[in-house]
Amino acid sequence: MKVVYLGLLILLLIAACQNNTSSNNTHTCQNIASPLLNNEVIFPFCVEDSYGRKVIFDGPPERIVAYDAAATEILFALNEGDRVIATHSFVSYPADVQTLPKVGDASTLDIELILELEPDLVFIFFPTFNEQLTKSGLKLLYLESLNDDFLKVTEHIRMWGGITGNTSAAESLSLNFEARIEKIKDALKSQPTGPSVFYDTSQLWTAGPDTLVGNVLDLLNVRNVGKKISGYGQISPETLVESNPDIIFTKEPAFFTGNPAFSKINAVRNNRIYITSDLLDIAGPRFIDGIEELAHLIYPNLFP
Amino acid sequence: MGNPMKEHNVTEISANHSPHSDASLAREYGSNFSYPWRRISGGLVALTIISILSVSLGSVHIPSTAVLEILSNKVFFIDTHYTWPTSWETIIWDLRLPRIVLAGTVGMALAMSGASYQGLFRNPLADPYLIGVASGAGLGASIVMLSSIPIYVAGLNLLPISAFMGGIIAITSAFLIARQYDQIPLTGLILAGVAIASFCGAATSLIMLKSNPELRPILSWLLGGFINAQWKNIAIILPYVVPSIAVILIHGRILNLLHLEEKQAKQLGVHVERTKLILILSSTLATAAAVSFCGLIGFVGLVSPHLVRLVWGNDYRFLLPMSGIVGAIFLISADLLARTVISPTEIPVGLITAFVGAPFFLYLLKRNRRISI
Repeated sequence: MKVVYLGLLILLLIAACQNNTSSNNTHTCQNIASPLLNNEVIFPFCVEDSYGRKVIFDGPPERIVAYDAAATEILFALNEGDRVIATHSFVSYPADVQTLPKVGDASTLDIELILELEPDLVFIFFPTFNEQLTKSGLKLLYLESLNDDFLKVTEHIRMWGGITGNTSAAESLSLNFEARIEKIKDALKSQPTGPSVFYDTSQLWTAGPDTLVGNVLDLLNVRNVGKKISGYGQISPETLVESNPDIIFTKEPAFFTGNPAFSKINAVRNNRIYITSDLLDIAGPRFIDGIEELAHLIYPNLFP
Repeated sequence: MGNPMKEHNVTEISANHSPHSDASLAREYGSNFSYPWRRISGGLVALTIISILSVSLGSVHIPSTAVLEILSNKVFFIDTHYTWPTSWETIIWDLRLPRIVLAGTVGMALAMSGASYQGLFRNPLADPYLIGVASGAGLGASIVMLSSIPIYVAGLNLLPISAFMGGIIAITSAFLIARQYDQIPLTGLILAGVAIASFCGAATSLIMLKSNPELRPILSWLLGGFINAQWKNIAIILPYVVPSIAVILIHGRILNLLHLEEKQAKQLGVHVERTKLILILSSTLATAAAVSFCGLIGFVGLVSPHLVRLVWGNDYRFLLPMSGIVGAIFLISADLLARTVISPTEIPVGLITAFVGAPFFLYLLKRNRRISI
């Protein structure tokens, strides 16, 4: 068992060390005349997947297995949720998905069940089962989860708008997302650098600047205690004490309040330990709610 | 245990007068034995040096003069009038020192349990985790970490409690399954332990796979680390570790006899069943307490006793304490590496013990070419 854990952790460490450069700027293919600007889809619509392959859509898919929380949320936000026929076990939003079949979890994918559901599109965010799925004759779209720039959420929204033929909804959702980001930027423009912040995912694991959360902390103009970490990493407690963050975001406040070594940290003394919500875990339309929540907690006066 | 069966009620015969003790035994374990105090003191000096080095180094640079003054101020109440940031005092006194003390205690407990298991089971592969303690503890911890149960209930950290409980439940089951009448056949115990370990390991994996994808915290717990070391944690484990270590230590001579042949040991006046039970219980208790706060740190319990064997031989009267010292040195150094190699990021200490311990052990093995229990 040790060996397995060791292997898994090494994989995670390697994954954390790699800078993800593979995600390209846009997932729509070059040869398609930008269908998104005139709000009119020109099928066939073409999407470039994370392998760089072109996936062509002759019309909007009707039966989508959305093996991804973010994709599911986007489809529902576009009012195209009735095209989603199945998800995976950890997708819980919106409430409508709870009654849908689940075709797998973190480790398994039930290909038999997928085949039985007769989908016309399977969307998946990790490559393990791609070969099997393609061999089974399923139409597959594989896009890695976003892990750096949260503005790419709007690219995904627009892509799904193109695929479902609902570009107008996608456009207004994206513009809303972008406008709210701009609003935060404007409000912070004239402000000096904000407080220092420690964003704890669990047991001192934290987000470096090259992650989605790290990008949010950059946007909010705060000093990220994990600034020297690449990807996600477990920070040394003495670095935390020395950095003396003004605010801590965590799911386990007692980890910080219960340890005498942390008692002199500003965030602990001033009672500025906030419990993180799950909004920033999923790079979907609600991600902006998570950003605004963070902005409000960090700057209660600027963002009431 | 109930009443020992008649055949185990051996008459006490002093080892020196046993008709079965041959010349070599008398030479090795006889009264001429002079205890190698020098080596032990040498080991203790090395332990002190590595501790001092370890308290001076970390991801935050603190000048050694400040370290010395903070320590003398805290330990000997010497007022040095030196001013340092309060964060330094916290780092030295509330972070580095408890880590070193905890790493040393855990290293010592694991290494001595390993040595006693190896002698008891006459098996060079025996380590403190052999009969299921670790996997049980891992399962207990995973259940708390990955379920909806909050880790902190009323400020109380459930993680070590559940790890400790898991370890104890696993080993008790192994005992109950292996027990035949009043005896604990060692082979049966190993087999039961291994089977329970596989079962708990599989259950842990299942929980990990079926729970939310954030697996890094539980993985790093399973690989062990001292990131949450606090004085109060040390105070909690010491009542388990100190008596256990003491019990193991006084069994040096008996382990010497036991590793010959159980039958022979019986003839030499050892209550074999009772001794086995006492040794297994103390080793397990020490191990379970050790892993409860710092996760499953591999290799210390296996490698440290063998290292002592390869360099200084097999006499358990020396092997047990020296293994403890070597284990403490090994784990304090590994933790020093874990928190400094890619600082400010921490590496699970179990990765270091495996990466450093395994090649070093193989080198020793290659050089000596003989390993016996």
